[in-house]
Amino acid sequence: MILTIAKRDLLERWRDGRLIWAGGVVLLLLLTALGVGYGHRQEARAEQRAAQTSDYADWLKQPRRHPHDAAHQGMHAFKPDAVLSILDPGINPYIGSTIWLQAHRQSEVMFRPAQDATGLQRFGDLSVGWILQVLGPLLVIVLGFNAFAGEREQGILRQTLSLGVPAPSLLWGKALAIGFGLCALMLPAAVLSAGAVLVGAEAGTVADAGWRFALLAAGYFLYLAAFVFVTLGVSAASSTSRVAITVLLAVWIVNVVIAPRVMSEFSRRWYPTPTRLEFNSALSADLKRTSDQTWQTNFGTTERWGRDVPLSKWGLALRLDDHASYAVYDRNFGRLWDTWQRQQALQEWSGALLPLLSMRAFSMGAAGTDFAHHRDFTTAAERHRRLIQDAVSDDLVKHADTLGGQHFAYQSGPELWQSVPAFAYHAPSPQWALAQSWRSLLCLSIALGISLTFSWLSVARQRAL
Amino acid sequence: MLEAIGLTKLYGQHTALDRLDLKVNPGEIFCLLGANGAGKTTTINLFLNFIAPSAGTARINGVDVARDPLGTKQDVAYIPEQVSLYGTLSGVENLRYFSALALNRHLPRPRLLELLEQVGLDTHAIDKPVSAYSKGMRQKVWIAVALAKEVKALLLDEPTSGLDPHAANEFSGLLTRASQSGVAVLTTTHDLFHAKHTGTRIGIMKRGRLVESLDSAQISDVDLQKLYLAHMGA
Amino acid sequence: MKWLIFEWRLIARSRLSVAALLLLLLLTSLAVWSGLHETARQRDTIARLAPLHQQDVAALAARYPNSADAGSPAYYTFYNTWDPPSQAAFLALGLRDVAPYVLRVRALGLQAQLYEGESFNPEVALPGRFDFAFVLIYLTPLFAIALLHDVVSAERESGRLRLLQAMPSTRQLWRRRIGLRYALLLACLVVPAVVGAVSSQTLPAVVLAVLAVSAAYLAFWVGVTVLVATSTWRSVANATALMGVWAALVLVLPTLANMVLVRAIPVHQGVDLMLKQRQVVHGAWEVPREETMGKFYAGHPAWKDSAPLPAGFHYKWYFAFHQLGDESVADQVREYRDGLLARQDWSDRLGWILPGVAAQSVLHRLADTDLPAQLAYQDRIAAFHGDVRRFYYGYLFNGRPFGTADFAKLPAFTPRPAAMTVPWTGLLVLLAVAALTLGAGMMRFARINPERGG
Repeated sequence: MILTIAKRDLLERWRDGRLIWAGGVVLLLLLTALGVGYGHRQEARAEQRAAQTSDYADWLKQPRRHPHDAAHQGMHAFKPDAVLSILDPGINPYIGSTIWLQAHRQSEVMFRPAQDATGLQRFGDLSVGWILQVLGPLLVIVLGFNAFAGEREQGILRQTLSLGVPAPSLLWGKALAIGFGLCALMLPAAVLSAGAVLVGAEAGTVADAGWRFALLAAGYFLYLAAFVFVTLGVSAASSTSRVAITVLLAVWIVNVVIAPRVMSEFSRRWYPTPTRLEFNSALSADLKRTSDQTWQTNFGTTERWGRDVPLSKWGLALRLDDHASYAVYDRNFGRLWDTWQRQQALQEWSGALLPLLSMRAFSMGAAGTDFAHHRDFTTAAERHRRLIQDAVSDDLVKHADTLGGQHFAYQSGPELWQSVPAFAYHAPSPQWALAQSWRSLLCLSIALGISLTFSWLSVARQRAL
Repeated sequence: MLEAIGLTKLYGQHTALDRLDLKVNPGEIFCLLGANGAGKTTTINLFLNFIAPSAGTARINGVDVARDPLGTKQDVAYIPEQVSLYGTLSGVENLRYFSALALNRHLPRPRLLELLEQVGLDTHAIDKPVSAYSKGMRQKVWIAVALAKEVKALLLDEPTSGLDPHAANEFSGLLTRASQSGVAVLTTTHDLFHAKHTGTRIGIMKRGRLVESLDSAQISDVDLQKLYLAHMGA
Repeated sequence: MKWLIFEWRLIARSRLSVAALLLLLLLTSLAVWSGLHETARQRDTIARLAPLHQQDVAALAARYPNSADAGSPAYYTFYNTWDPPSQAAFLALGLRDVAPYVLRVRALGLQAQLYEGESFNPEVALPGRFDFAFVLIYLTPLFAIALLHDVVSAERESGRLRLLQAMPSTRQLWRRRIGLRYALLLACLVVPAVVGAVSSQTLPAVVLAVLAVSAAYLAFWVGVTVLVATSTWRSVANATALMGVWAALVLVLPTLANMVLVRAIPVHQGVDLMLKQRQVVHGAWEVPREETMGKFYAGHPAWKDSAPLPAGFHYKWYFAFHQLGDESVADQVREYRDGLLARQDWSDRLGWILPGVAAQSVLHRLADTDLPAQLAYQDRIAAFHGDVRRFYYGYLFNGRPFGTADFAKLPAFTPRPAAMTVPWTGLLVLLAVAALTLGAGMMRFARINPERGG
């Protein structure tokens, strides 16, 4: 019986044109976004490969020089674009992909594309993820708003119920119809997306990309299923189609348009973060305090690089100073990033009632374009920076400090440059991504549970007349 | 077969149905007459469990409809005043769908065509979209659904309203054949002529109460009209 | 007047209409409050800078009471620059949440310091701010749709349309009906905005321009709604179609356009110039010092009579190669800015066909929170950086010592005055499009046929 109801509902949507027109527009947009995302990533990947290679070549090609100068030149870490950024670019438009690994300073990414943007960018970035998150629910509403209310208005519902059809069968049948419709529409885009992802994945990461794609698909299934049941529940509870569509559009507007902005403001107020200036001030003060302590303990003075520190100890001083700073950077950046993640967690929890917030977070997490992945990259970059620092200071201690007053005459060369490996970053595993995204997955499931319960109760209690 | 015992429905202070006692046996056609708002449609809705009674019970085949809403509907078919079908589907597609819901299995096309022939639907129309059907044609499709169900009771709400005399006559013939095969029929109507000539028993309702119940064979057309108007206070 | 009161009663007795109007009023008030709160927070942050700077300078003055040269003081002294929000910024925060409004710079190469972005949580910044511009551009059309989509179809569905069309003054009736709803929606928008503007002492000209944008944008959407509402479709079909139009004009088309714009005008120079500047600065340690000084004096002849470099490190050489690093990327800087401005121009042109984009563009200009505002701030920083450099050059190249008294003479940054210019082209285009659309919609009332549709 459920299949009978589903097939008929689907046939009607096909014949009344909704599936073709509304669905067709969404499908066209999906394919466009996929094409653009794929092209963009191919370009970005090629550029980045070239940049990373030439940057390391520049490091190796350095002439013989004092190692400290080499440390100041440093090198750059380029964040590889996750292959699923084709589907959901996440925070990439708001965060750059290049970190300068320089001496004595932990850097953040430079050159966020958002700074190159005009106000047009605030309308959104067209991606498969955006379309599914924003237009997917609207498509569900268009397909299902009059599923019960329309039949009640026409009198068909009363006739159907008079045949002794159980209300849950109607619910499942109509839900299946919308589900089949969505699947039919999304199948071409899904197949192409999967192909693009698997083809675009770096060697050795195809399986990971496949798992991430599966996670993404599962997330969107939960999200759209929640909207299917909300739509049917509201349709069953509404006296007329007009009331149903008004309520559903209000739900969509609140969820998709208002909630993200309001919850952003709210999470910023609840967990405030410092401005760049305040952060840098606090960091400088903390660095100075720690550095003073280090210098006082080891050299009996806070006058850095002054007369009290002989040249034969400059390498050692550099190493001590750098090592002391590592904990300071970890503390300050850690605090800032933890606060950002708390802000994000607040938004994810609200996803139990406002599913877009959880879906957005889960989608970025599965695609590898969220802040957790970015933090993983910046942490790896910082580790590499410390590797460079330590290699340089060890070399200075071994070879330059022994020269005493001739410390600055010491020059190192390819033997030192080659001892520092190129920065090679591997994105975390899908299992890691899932573990980071447990909150949003849970909230999506709760949202689906709430919508299922709501629709069940609405349909059970609905009036036939 | 169809039994109402002290059936009552209140909407706030307003009494839509007041302690209705009524029995329709197999093979009987019971016609309920009354003005708008007399409680006729309320009676039908209570039998179908579309609304809950304030007091009393409605029974189909001895089973309280409130206790077993789904089971009792297996034994009854409902034909509303305005039959609604899916406009984008054809007559035979509508029949196929609704009969599948009623019987929980699909009937083969020959059987569907047979049913449509039985109700007299024009063969040229059966594969056309129902949006082009007249009221009478839609009603025939729904009667075919009822026939497919092979039920023992029929509930009809103003079935001849809006039908031309030929269609109304056809419909009366179908009803008579059904009752002759042992189906209990409860129908509401404004049409005194249809009540007298199709019904075996007639009930007159006024302000939620059954004020008269008589054999249609024992009253003439004229006397029925006088009695009806007397109750209506004209 | 009697007729208006009658129309008012029709609205007042519709729970949906009253709820919609109150909700718009609430949302606008919240948005205005949110904007005022954010601009106040930014002003507080700026106000905290001055005492911090005094502290830093005092500490440095204590550390370098009597330096032989200005090198170390120049190296260690940071200067605060800031870009205060304009009085109208609360209405449209624009790019102020992702672009920095305070920046510390010192006399070293500017190009390495200028592009340090503001610190913000990217996941939280994604959706944008909840401000007046958001409520006007995204939400107001929905309220217009809610109040007007069934202005004709509801009458048709309830059977009253024939009666209305049979009356002698039908067109006036429709004008009154649409007019009153328009006026009520506009009031819900502008009253909180004006209250906010008064409390933040916004210039009257700017307030009037904001009212004009709001009135025009609302008129456009009322026109679009009326165009669809005067069709023969049922109310539900009207609402669905209008939602589709809204999704297209406000969500999909601007997003598509942005995608096209970003690809058509790529702006890579930002990363390139950063890398090149860094290369030149770090490579300078290997370049013979005389060569560096020669290049510097060629571009800055005012200092060419400076004493020759002593053996060993000297800060004037250090600052010279930092400046040369900046000059080596001057072309890229120009190309980068040209690229950004080209993007802005095309964004503005897009407003000719997408009223939402036009309204946003105009509001951001009025609020002085758009890309040109950001670039103007960078220009101000660059000019100040020049002042700071020349201040220290005076000591470094003339061999003058730098002591406590000199710390008192440090240059002071003055922020640029807010340039709340009225973008007449954008505003006039928006007004014209709105007038045309509303006019077209109102003319369709003459062609309503009560016999058709439903």
